[in-house]
Amino acid sequence: MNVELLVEETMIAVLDATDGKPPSQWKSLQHLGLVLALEEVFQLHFTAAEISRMNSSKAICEIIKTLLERGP
Amino acid sequence: MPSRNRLLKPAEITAWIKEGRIDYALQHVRLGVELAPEPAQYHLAVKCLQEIMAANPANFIPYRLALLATFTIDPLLTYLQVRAGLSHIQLTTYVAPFNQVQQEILNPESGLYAFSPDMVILALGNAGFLEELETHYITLVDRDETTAYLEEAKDRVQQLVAGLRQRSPAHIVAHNFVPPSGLALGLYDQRLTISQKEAFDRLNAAIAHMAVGLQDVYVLDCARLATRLGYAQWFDPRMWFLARMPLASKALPELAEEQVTFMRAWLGLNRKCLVLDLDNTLWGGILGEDGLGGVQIGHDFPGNAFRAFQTALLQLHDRGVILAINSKNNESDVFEMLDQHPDMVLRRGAFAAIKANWLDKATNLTTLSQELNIGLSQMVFLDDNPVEREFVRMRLPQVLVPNLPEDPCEFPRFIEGLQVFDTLAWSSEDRRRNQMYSQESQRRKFEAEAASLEEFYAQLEMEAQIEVDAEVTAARVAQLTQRTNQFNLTTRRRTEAEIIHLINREDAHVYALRLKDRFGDYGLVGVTIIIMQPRAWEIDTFLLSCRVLGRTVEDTLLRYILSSARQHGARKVFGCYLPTAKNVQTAGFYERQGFAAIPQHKAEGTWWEYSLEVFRPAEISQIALHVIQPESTP
Repeated sequence: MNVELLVEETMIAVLDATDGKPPSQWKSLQHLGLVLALEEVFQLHFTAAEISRMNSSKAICEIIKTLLERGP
Repeated sequence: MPSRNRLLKPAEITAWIKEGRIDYALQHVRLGVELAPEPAQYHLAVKCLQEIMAANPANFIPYRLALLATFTIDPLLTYLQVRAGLSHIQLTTYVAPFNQVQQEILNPESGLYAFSPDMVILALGNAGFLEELETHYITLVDRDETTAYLEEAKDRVQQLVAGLRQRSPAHIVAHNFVPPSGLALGLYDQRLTISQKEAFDRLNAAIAHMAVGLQDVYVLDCARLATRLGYAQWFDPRMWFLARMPLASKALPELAEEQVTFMRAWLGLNRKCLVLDLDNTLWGGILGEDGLGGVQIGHDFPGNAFRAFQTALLQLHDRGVILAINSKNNESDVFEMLDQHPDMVLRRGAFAAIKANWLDKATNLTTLSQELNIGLSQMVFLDDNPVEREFVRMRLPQVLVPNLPEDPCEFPRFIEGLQVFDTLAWSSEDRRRNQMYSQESQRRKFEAEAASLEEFYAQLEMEAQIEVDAEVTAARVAQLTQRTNQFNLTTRRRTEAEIIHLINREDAHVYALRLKDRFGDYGLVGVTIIIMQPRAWEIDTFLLSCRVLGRTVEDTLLRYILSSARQHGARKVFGCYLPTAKNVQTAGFYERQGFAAIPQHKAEGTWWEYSLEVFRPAEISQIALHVIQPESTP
């Protein structure tokens, strides 16, 4: 599975990220919307601590990969 | 893992829009979010809907919604936009600053009032509003202060609602309160004089009673919604602690749909008729192959699931939803099943019309629409067969065709959750609706057999009764203003309280018309509201239920209004036509009735006048008219 591609796809859907803004400029509520969408797309459940660490695309992908590797 | 974003395909939606298949595109946006009610789908759906609305703005009703909440409510907006858009409502939203409910309501200069909303959602959460009740209940019990606290909490809600009502004519929808998942005294809670659970129930009941007494105030039952979803699907502690946003992602589309249900009901966008397939929908198995004794309907599985589904459908029938059948079957077999199978809940009389034949289902739906005189956009079609469903969607995209669950055990819950039939009023006409539509079907057959239209009218033996300023008619009159879209000259929606106010105004009259004929009683089907000016009457509202169109009832009602105006000394009668997407058929009504156009009379709509100096009461031989004036109204 291409985690980066799915994250990007979801970001485009949720954040209308085509404007190219870096995550630091996302509104916090957009960030929450993205987190909820990623949970559905990857069938994962993030903890509040993980959510608060999701401050870049790279961080998001790393957290998702770690959780996927860990398994259910 | 597949990408769930692929369920909704924006490129396909764009292609259908370019082909002008707006309603078909809309149906597929609906399917996309219903197959996967997930955040990413909803965000994609917003974009698809924006494209659809831009391509056909006339098909969507603009609506201004304000949200006042004691918690972060912004993530709900995406879901509201989608659920509203799917109901042909184009939302513009205003979200009050975080936890500024009181300030927004009390300050006449606030952003809320500057926004001028059509509807205000008042979402008061437990935290910050009911702290003691939720988190310090034992203290309340120790002090024996529960009853006083509940009274004071209800008063606080009432003050907010009353403040809002005082400063805005918007409809108000107030959330009620969701009891906590864990009770302060655990098992012992039920032994308290007033348990914590009961305290929430009492408060919610008090708020509901308060709303009944206020004009255009309704309660959204979040407590029931949370119970239906389960508390874990309702409240997300992570979102709460991170962003003061208590709603879980599963709760967002459900809550949005509940809120949009109020808008649909108010705007008259609710559906009226449920058309059902039979085999594997109303019963298990194929009637033509399995026979009367072989189909599954009864008290054991799986027949009991179908029986439960029929019971749920009977409830819809009893509240006024019109039921009809559209099935590929021999008509005689279907009648035998409906009349003779001992375990059927729905009998032949429950259906206003039955199409059991071998024609395609879209053709049958079109015939049903004509026979029952119900628009396709007011129909819902349920069929277990996905091929039939898609065929109807393609041929008749105005008909709502939801996906029936595969498992019949889910059918009852599915139909209970289908909120497209909800209304804000319930009258005696609703209870008799199926009977009335069945009579309508008989009339249509009679009409087809008549030699001429004149003969048909004469043989109908129609009798009309006009009740003037009768408060007893207010609920039904209000309902007609809210529901009638086609023969409605101005489409002004009014509540029961507003109608009563008009009835009691000295410069206004409310005329309510009932009709019956040899086939039965139509009930109250026509309304005219008059505003009297010096020497002139203005027709504020003129509407007729679509069930009596084409019976010359509109002529009778208008001639009576003109006659009354002249008797009261008026010299002119003014009428206005305000165009909507659905009332095009009334555009030429005043002209046909001899009114003269008044160019550029007012900014909105087209205006017409009738000089009563030339009025001659015409004999309307087809309809016997009886008038009940206010003095003799019971």
